[in-house]
Amino acid sequence: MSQIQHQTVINQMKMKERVDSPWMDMWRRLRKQKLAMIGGFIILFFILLAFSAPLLTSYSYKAVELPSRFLPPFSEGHFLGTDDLGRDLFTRIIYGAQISLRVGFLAVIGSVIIGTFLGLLAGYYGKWVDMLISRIFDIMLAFPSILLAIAIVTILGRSLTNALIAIAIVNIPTYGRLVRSKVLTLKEEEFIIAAKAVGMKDSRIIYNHLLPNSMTPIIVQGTLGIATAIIETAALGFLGLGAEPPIPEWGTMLADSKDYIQLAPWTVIFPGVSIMLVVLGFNLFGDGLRDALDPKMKL
Amino acid sequence: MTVENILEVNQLSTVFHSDEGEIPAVNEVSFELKPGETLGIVGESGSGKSVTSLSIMGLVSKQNADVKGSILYKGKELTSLSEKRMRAIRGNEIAMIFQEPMTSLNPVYTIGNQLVEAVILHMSLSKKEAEKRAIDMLKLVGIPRAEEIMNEYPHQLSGGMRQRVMIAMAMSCIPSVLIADEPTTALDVTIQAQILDLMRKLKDDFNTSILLITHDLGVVAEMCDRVIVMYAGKVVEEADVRTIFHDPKHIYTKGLIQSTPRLSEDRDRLYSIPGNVPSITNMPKGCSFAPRCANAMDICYEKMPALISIDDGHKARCWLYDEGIRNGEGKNSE
Repeated sequence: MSQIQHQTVINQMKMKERVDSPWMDMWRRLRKQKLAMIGGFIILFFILLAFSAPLLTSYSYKAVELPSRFLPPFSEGHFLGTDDLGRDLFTRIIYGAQISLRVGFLAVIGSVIIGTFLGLLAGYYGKWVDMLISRIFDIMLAFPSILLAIAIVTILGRSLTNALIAIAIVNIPTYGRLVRSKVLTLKEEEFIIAAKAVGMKDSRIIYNHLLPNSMTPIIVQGTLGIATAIIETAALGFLGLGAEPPIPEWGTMLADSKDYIQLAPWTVIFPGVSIMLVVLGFNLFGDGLRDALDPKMKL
Repeated sequence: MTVENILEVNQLSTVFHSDEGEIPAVNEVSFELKPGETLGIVGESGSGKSVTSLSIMGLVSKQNADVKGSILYKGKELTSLSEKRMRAIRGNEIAMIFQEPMTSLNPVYTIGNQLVEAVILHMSLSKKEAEKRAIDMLKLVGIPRAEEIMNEYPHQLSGGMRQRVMIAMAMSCIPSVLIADEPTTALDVTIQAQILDLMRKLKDDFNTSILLITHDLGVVAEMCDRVIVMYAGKVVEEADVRTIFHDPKHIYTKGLIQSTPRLSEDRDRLYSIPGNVPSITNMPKGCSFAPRCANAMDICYEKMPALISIDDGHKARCWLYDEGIRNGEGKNSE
């Protein structure tokens, strides 16, 4: 009996021994986070909806059908009802998911790339480079982000792409500061000094050694940032500065239906709930990632 | 026949600029290193040992510090080399290993990745050849299952193993000089002995000169040919290893040796040098060791003594060995 136990212990140790890459490690710990997994499923659900939109509905998101306007949910052929122009709400929601997710991801990718680059430079070189970049960040952060985004869209003109650009720009300082502070602590680490002692170039140290070690906070912040970006897109849309009708952007849909809130509440509820769910999903998932990637939680 | 020095450090001073003023971490340090020789630099924490080594590597940030004096490597002046030329020397000709094996490897890469990167940096090898060289180096430093270790991450290795990896990385380009900054301080005693043996073996195999920085006199006795003792940024005594232990001249060196436990002696209490190293921003006038020195004389509080030659190759920075003082005044009555 004890022989068997012994064997299992040894086997377990062998299993432990075969430690996998940091990514596998992260996945293992993430799986234990219930809320994160719920968040992940919500995100996955909306991604699937978005990708298979043409398969899930036979309607076009811009097909106006005035006779069947304001149909309530669960009407025949219109699972979530129709809006003021008789367009199928379900169709518009799932195409809207496409738009929100795409804008969210692209805006975050844009601000992460630029922010990380500036943050690495500021953190590594310090002195006037840091001064210049950090002060620009400070100035950008002195504006309420939505106001800054409105200003940028006003200059560039109303469109979904410009809203995306505005959101990307507004969020650059968040990632820049994050990376800068991470680099400030990293560059005092012995392995960076060791890399210099081996004779590595600055560019190589930044790209090969500082960047990979700063990835964790970027990934966490980026995931949470998608939620923010989606809200900001919706807000710009609601204010009439985002997507132009008939593009079924959720914020724009809210704005269009707000006049009918008593007559046809579902036209407001469904886009609103969609925004809430997606944002909740990304926030739960992001929080879970943060816990899973926390070095203090390492087993 | 004169043996040419592989490394000659002359009047090296490193001054850091800080908000509290200038901090002279290293003050007119001079020494030379012969091929195949092991030179120990001994001193307390804060005596400027590590800054000396970083200054030689050109790793002291030029924005925050001034490095003065000359560092000749094989007759080449390192202090005036461009950053690019300096990079070609770092790691390739002068390599360095650090105190903390736990943090001197990048946690996100496998051991193999990092070794191959270091090898390719200085040797024109293909990836395959570099990998082979990395495995050979790992075997050379006595790492079992070298092929498997190549795919493991630093956190999976013990401290001793990591230090072996660091040594493998440092030796992979067969440098002429290896600077070891307290290579065994963070390791436990049995591993210390193994690592020291390994360094000695590699030194003999590759005829590498070692600059060994340590505060452990045991390590010095075991490894070094010559020793310089540093105190508060200055060299206070220089001699070969035998002389240092049997006939130390500077009171500080004597104190250091006395404060090392010995098996052969039966003492209740270990000797300790009274007082602390003076704050580097607030150096006393005269000899920086005077406030802690039992033999301090009046002149010790007035003027810094020069490095006085006592015997062939034996120098000490102490007024006791100054001709004029020896014949004249006595001890400070206080």
